[in-house]
Amino acid sequence: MELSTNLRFASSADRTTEDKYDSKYPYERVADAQGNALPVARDYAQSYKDTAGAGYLLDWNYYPLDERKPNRKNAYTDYQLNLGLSYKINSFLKWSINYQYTRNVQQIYSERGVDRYSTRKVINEFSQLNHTTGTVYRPFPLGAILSTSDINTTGHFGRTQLSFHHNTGWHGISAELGYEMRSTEYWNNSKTLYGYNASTASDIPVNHLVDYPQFVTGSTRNIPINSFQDGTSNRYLSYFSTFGYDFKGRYIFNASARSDASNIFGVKSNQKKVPLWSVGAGWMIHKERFYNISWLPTLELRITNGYLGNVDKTVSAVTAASAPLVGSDGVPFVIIQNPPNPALRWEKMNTWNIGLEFSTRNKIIAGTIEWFHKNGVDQIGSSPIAPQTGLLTFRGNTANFVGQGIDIVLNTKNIEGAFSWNTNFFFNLAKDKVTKYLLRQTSPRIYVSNNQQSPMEGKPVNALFSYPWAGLDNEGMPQGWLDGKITKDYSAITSNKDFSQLIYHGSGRPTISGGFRNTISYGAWELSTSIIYKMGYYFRRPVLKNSYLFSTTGVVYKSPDYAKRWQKPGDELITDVPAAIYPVTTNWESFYDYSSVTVEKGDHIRLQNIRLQFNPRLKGSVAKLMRSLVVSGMANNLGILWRANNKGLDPDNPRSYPDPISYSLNLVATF
Amino acid sequence: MKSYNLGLLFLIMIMGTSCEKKFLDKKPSTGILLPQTLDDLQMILDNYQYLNLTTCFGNIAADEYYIKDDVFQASNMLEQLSYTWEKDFNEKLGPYSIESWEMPFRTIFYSNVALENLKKVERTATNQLKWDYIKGAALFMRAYAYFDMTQTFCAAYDEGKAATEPGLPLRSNPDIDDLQPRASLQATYQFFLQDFHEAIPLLAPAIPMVRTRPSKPAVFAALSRVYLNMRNYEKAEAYADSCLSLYHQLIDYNTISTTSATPFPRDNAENIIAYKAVNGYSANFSTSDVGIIDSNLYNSYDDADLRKQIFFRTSNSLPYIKRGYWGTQATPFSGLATDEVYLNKAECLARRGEVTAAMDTVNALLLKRWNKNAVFTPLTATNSTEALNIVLDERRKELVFRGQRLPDIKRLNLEGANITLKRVINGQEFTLPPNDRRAIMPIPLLEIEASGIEQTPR
Repeated sequence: MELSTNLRFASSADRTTEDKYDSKYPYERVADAQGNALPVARDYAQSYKDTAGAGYLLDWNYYPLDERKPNRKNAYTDYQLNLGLSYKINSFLKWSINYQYTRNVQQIYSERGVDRYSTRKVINEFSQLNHTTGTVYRPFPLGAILSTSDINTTGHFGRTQLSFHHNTGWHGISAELGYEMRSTEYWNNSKTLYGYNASTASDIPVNHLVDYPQFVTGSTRNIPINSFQDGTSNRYLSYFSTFGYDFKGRYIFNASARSDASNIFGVKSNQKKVPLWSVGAGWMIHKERFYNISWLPTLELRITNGYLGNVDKTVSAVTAASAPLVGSDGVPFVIIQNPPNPALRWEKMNTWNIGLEFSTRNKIIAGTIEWFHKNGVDQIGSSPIAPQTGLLTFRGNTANFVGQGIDIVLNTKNIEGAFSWNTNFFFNLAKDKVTKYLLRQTSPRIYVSNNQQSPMEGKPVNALFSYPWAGLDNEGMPQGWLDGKITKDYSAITSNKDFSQLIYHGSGRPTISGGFRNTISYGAWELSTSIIYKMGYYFRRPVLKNSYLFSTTGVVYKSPDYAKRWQKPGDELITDVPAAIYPVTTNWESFYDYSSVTVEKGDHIRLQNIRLQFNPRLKGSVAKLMRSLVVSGMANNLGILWRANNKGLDPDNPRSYPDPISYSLNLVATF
Repeated sequence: MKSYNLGLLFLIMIMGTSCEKKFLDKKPSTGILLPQTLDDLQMILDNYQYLNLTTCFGNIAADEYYIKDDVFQASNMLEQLSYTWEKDFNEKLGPYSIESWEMPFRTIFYSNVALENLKKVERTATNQLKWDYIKGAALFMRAYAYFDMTQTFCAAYDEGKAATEPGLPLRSNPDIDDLQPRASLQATYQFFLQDFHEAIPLLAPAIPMVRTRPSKPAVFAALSRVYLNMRNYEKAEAYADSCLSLYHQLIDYNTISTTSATPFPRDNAENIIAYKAVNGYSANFSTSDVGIIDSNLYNSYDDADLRKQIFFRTSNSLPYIKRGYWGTQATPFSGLATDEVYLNKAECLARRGEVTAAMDTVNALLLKRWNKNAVFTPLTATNSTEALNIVLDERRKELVFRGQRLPDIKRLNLEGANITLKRVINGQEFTLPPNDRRAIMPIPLLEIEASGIEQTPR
């Protein structure tokens, strides 16, 4: 009998600012020459902000520099308790039971005082100013807005199993039979107080059920209710069994079966269970008598076939509605989130896997090569549906697909000794194809703009299509191809039912990916670099849209294409960026946006990180105090080493700023 | 010893199995609800932001406002094509999402979900009031959505032709696999008329505090509108009377602010049930200077007529609509109100030669619209035709921006009114002669593509 216990406790806290400054214009000034904060244009015209309040309202300006002060505190506390009991019934049978309890408490405290733009703005918007007397009535009270959240996540995990191991020289048999339960309960309690004064911890009550006139627009709205509680429960149960047999340690046979059930909504209990099984065989070729390749002491071949059922928790077979919401008239209502779908079934996936594992002597070169083939049936997806149903899209079993690929892992020891150099190389090739899709689109628009939601049979799950591009005309208008002729009939192109005229570029997801990691160590020091690559795919770059350029609703315009736009006849020979034309005609934009000229190759190689680690051997009194000490520093997102596109775009993030370089320093001591 | 331990193990496993069902029955999120109780179904029907919506073609394709050339240029394709009664509407628009089609069908879906789930709740002595209300309300919402859609997507009801004229797909269950072909216009009218009639005994005679919910006066007002639309003036008058006998309040416009941008709260005294038009046309939005009120229409209001200042605002000396009977909503009110019922009654009276009674009914309404500091001279007519013309003029003025103008034009043209609509864009003239089929909005391409239903002959 063996009893084990383990208790862990961790606590951490951070402070951040909730303001996310995003410049509206290139070269926006946020500070003057002396470093003082400057206001930047935001929401309303400066002339309006300066005069509308006649000096009686709060400062309506936005100073990004002043918003950097942290206003939000996050505190995390984690507990974990593990209990284990195992009992050896006899030499080949063992029974064990494990239990784990986890609790995570997150407390968020966010105080946005009147030194914050967002607070001043909302107070001003609700203000009612009497211009003659200069009195201001503020239904949205003066003071800070305090938002607090208590988020508790509690987890229970229990497992009991009976294991059998028996080895009689030539024959080895092992088997397991067990039962597992898991639950994670999440509960969030959030509330918001207005007119908050931290020194007295007091707030000013507001009436949420009255629609107050808005200072700027003259329309009315209520003060939003931002106090709520919500919770989720994830529960799983599974029965599992495995069986393994090996003969002389050379031939291995495995089988496993399990049944998983979860608290999926709106189905009968027998439909909550999902079956999974797999069978496999292995051959340790190097243990055969005939094997005599001395430079390759390990060579193993494995083959498995597995079946997986999956239930999508976001859909249900019966009508499901949202939790009640309350309108400004105080009447609760619900939104139907899931229509009745009695035909809902599991997604099914069958996977074949053949792998070869090898290593040379002393593992100088070691690795695995694996081939896989997946066959997915009844995959759940969204698809457009006839509007007479009252819905626009529908989630259900819509697609079948096949996928296959190769995974290669190679580890080499280039130099061994006090100074050592290791390399890890990863390569993944994965291709997929939609073999069946319930809904066939009748317009190319959906295929070019929303291929993930309506894939085309015979093409990858995420394929990139576009309208054929024929350059600009001598007025800076985009042109496309239709039936072999150059045309500006955009609606004809974007509604052409002959999909063979669309350009199919390829997969919208990398078909080749992997990494390359080098580690150099000397004594207590270790330096590693990680390079990753993604190949064989395409992405669509953002373009200069006139509707954004002339937008008054605050769509942020950031595109270097403005300088490259067509401006005079002849420019069409050197640029593909259409003229800026006002008023905006949307039908040429919807063509240009999805034309072939906006598609770029996604291939790139990236220096992901560099890590330096110091792991000294502890001696003397220090060694008595602690068991180990590891200090490490890491720099992440160091940049792109090579990219196929010449626009300077990060294919992982073409529509916004690239991820910034981040640095971290870690210290881990074990006592 | 061994068997004892195995026994313990199995005991634990069996305990696990017995509480398994309970363990898995826990709701995965507080954010979802399986609508089962009457209160749940009530909350489905109370989603007025989704359900109390109507089509908006009746505003843009009528003659209440016009837009300037530059505004037309900047408008979206749907607005341009609707505004000019484009013949090749779908060809030019393409598979564009059209809320006038999608939103009423969402209302129909919600109503059908409520009706379907209601079948699983037993009607008892204690819950019968609520049970009846939910059934009546769901039938009303479904019927109102269908009737409203016929006004946009079907030809005006003409008794002799309705059996061969295409109507709408008639959906009486929420099953998404059950796609329906278009029924005839006759069958469509029968379908929603039956819903309305079935709802009468189920709904209460009092107007609810929350004016987004149906009531018995609402059904009567709706039936009065439907029968008027079918040119069955006898029944239209009877249902107008039924409505007014239960509820006939009018607002004295002297109590209403002439300067407020939002003169009427939603739950105002004339509102029988509130609906609003879907989005889709910027000219329908009262907050922007887009749709300029037709000058003949604007000038037809007397200066002592408070409606001139309460319904309209001027910007750069051009008149625009203010927000109407639904408080702060920027899209037009398209529900039922007592003023319309008065006008239905007056029209029916005038048509059957009850000239004095017709004028009395109109005058009762106008008295509440007149500036109390000015002298109101009651309107008079010497014969039926004169009375009818007065009533129809007042109808146009009172129900401005209620989405009723195009249905009225289509109906009156069947009566021989010979109303031709005209637009001028960039010097080009567009006209819509009487009974032209371009006054019918085509079935959206997205629907035709997905369900293969028949297109309306154009």
